[in-house]
Amino acid sequence: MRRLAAVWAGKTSAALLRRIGGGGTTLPGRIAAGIAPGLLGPLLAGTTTILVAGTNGKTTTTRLVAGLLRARGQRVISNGEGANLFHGIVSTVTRAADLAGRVAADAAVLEVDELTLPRVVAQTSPVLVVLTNVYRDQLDRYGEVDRVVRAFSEALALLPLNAVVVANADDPRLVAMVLASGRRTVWFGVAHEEARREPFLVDRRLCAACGEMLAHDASGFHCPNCGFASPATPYRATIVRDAGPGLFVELAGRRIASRLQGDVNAANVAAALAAATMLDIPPETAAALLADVEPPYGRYEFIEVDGRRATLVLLKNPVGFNAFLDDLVRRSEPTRVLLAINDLPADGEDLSWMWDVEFERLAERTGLELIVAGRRHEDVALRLKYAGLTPARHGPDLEAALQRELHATSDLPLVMMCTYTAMMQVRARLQTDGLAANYWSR
Amino acid sequence: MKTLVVGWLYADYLNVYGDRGNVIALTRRLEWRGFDVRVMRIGKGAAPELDEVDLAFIGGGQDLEQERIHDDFVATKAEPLRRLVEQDLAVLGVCAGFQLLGKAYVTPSGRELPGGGILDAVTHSHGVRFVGDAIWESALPGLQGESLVGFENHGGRTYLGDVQPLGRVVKGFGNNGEDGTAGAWRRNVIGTYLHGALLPRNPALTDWLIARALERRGLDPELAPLDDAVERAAHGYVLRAPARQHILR
Repeated sequence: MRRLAAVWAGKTSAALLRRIGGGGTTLPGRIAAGIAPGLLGPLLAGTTTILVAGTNGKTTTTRLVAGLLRARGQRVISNGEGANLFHGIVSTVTRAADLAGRVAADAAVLEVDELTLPRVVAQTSPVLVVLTNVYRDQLDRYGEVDRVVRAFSEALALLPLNAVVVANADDPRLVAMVLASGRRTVWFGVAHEEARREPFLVDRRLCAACGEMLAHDASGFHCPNCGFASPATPYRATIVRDAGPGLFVELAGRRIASRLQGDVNAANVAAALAAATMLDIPPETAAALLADVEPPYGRYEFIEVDGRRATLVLLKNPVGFNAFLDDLVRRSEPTRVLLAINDLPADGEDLSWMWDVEFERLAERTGLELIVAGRRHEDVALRLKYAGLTPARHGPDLEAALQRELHATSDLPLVMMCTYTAMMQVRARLQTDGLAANYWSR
Repeated sequence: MKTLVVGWLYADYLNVYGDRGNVIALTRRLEWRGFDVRVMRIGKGAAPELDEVDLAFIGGGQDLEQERIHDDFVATKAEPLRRLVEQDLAVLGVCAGFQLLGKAYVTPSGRELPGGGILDAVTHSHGVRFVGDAIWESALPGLQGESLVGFENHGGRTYLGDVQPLGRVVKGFGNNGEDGTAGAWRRNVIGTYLHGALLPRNPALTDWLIARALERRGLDPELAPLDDAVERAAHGYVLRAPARQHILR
């Protein structure tokens, strides 16, 4: 009875919030979980549950796996809006339930915040848990990276015995933790020359077993001191350059075309293919279907603005940022770059990590016009100054910068690199100006 | 042209918190004054090259990485550093770097590990972290009363013995959240919990360290002034920002 009341309250508040024009991504879950805290398990009891967690790539990987299942004709619920804290997940599931407390879906593909994973696993019976990577991110919230590893370890211990873990074989801390869990595991990774470059490796330098420096090559990492190494990796993607627009990878003996951009997404494609195989989708079918999945909002998202190409990228830690700078340096076309950096709790309140972003690399890249906006424009301008770069302009007002950049007479491609709340602001502006669809209807 | 050497200790181990920005700030501000700079990364093992260093820097790391270099620091770096510090070497230690410079580190299980013994300070590990923007009032000669800003995120509680605090806490937690002391300094050695990175947003402190290094080399410590408008703006943000301190359990 309590459960039904919770579902009813969650659904009603969600409907109300939508009517008054909000996305309503977490409040209904807060209300529903307030009435029945153990709501999630019974609601998802008859639904194949897949959880995706990790520092980078979880939203994209979630979207790929959900997209694959949908293309196979399954009814899928997924928190595609990135509402990945406990109440956001309860909101997503409650919305999909009928008033009798039944979820009319074949599968639930849920992105879960790193520290929230144990709580969600404890309440549900996932068949698959995908772990993308563990990088430092928002240390003001997580304290230390090892805290995230401990949370994952706790979550794996709570998994049903028949559950399978899909994990990144290139991440030493993750590999050590997953091996120690004794869980059945399918490994994925990326064979990429540039993955050996230092910025990619800042978080993967030390052996998780003995603490010495690791060596990296196309088959992953290995420790010259104690022999700890990447496990055999059946789903290891090789990036194919200049094959066309989008990201192309060779993976498990096939070439996969995807609509995603950026080298960082190669690992997400590999993770999705590994997960698909575990969900009984034949690899050739999955490979073909992956080509049709669009990127999630704000993650290397392409938007046509008056016939001009704009890219929206969420960047929140040095690894993601450095990977994107690699892409920017590799392309040579003149580009306007808007850096929109805020420091609200959802962004991370501390900007220390900007000093681990290799802006110095942009000094060698010609044809860039840098514009800086957001609450921390001064810190960004300072970081750029010490990298030998001068922004064309900088100021706190993101709205004014967007007004100029989105409606400029310039026909140069526009790249918008944003922290979380800045990205939401850009999204809202695009929507108000009729330049992009409502993101929660996608 | 004169070349100065910045020695970056354990660059491969203690590097998780943007503290690389301190090396960048020292390098740029020396280059802008017409000096050449060589950054020397110093890892584990005996390091006779410490004798060539004009400015030494040790950054912050996670507990795990810190554990892994602690013994190496005490065995191979502490003795030469103690000797060089008495010869006026300029040293900056941030977070784990600050703790390593101290006399001892007490682990969660209560075991006392000897430290570098360069600053008379003892750090007790603590599970509850102090996190947030910080403002300190400097007590450093030449920078007395000036503000130092940064971001702190530490579980360690550091208690000073026979050593001066770098300043006093205006906002934030400081060394231990109890006595208002903020960092430590002795001779030309500075220990602090401030990330941010610290030096880019505190150009006066950067120049203080540079001046001490030049003095030691017998060069003129009077530095040509630079246009620090951007530095001052970023510094000012912390002074204006609303209080957001967290105790992270």
